Amino acid sequence: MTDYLTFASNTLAFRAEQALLASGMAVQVVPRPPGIVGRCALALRLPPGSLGAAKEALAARRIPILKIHAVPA
Amino acid sequence: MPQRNASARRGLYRGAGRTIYLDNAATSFPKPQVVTEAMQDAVLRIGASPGRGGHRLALEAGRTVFGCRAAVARLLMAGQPDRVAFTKNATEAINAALFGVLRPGDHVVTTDIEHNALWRPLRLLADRGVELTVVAAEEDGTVDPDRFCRAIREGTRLVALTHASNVLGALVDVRPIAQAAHRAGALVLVDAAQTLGEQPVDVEAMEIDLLAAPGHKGLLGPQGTGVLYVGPRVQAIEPLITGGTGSRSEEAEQPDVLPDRLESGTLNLPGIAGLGAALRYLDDTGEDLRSRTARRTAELVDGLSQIAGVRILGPRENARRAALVAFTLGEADSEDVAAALDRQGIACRGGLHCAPQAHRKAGTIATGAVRLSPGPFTSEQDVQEALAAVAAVAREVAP
Repeated sequence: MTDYLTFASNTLAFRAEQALLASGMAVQVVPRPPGIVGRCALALRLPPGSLGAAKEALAARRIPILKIHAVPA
Repeated sequence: MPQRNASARRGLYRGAGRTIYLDNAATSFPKPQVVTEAMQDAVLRIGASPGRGGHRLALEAGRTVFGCRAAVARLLMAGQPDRVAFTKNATEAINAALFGVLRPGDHVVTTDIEHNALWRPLRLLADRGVELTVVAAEEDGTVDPDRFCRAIREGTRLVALTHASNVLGALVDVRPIAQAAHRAGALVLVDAAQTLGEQPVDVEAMEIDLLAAPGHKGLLGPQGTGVLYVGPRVQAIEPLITGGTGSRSEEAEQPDVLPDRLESGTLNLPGIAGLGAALRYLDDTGEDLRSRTARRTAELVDGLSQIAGVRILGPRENARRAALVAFTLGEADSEDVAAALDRQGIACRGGLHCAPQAHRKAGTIATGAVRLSPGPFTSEQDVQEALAAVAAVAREVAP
């Protein structure tokens, strides 16, 4: 499974990207998680096994995650 | 970077008919060359709309906007970039703040030297049931914090005032006013049109809740750009306009999240790209630019005060003055004086500067005033030549 994070705005998605890159996580901004339709703010694809650390890093920066999507790799 | 700017200055400024530009309080000119380059890049290479689509160019447009937003937040010491919304100018930002937080029955305290950008929407809101208390400033534009604070009462919703009058130039000590406003549960809106980029502004230290500023004055960005900072004390703000935001598209309601709540419709990518480049330029050179502008302002005050017939408006102490100096020449019409200076190659602004209240305060509503406003690229020689031109006009109109 690959974890994707979505956010309430693109500004939050870019902030999250910045925060996670700074913490050494190789995240990637994508238009949306695969298979998810009906919304158009950006999403972040997380490296395998990094969901816990990503949630922790974002919580420390007070960046709210809208939803976590686990998508078959 | 300064070298590149200097060459731009020669090409765009000196080359165009020996004009000395002293109208930076209206819009700064020339702009750093990097501003032009960033705007050109946004139009010619990126092209796409930020937040509209997920292709690489749309992502790059989004990153460009985010980079500028983050730079504005850093400049304001504002914490999160989410709290910075882009507008087309300071006027739109002020309107977004006023109409966003005020409702009929709310009480607002302001001053009697405000620009029409603040004064006209406040008057419109007063017609719709908002109660206004207008505190008198001193003749030189100084706002006495104690006098202002006495007008704040329980139930005051907003304190709205300029950081520096665009006519009188007097800097307002915002912090004690903001502290009194917060003790009463009110919010604080500051119009920083004449100060952001040129004076230090720290929204947290100054306790500012809403700050409106243009991108094209002290920030050295292009026209068509402005910003509204919305601080954490602002619990709710209604959008001035609603529509597509590139987020939560599945919902009929405007998103609650900032900045999307206040940014409907396609953003001005070329303008924001230019503003972002200007902010990076300021980040590199800002302190030097600020002190240079302050020196030119002081030279103008000193020089004008030695010309017979000149009356300088605003405070005499340069430390209390933003980078503008308005003056009258006897009873001469300021537009005639500005036109005479224009014929001598001095670009400046006469008239009422969209701020009739400040002119009533200064006793210049009949004649207006001539405003000289230097910028970071104004040289000492520019100032000396401008002063010589004023002296020559003074000998003609007020011998």
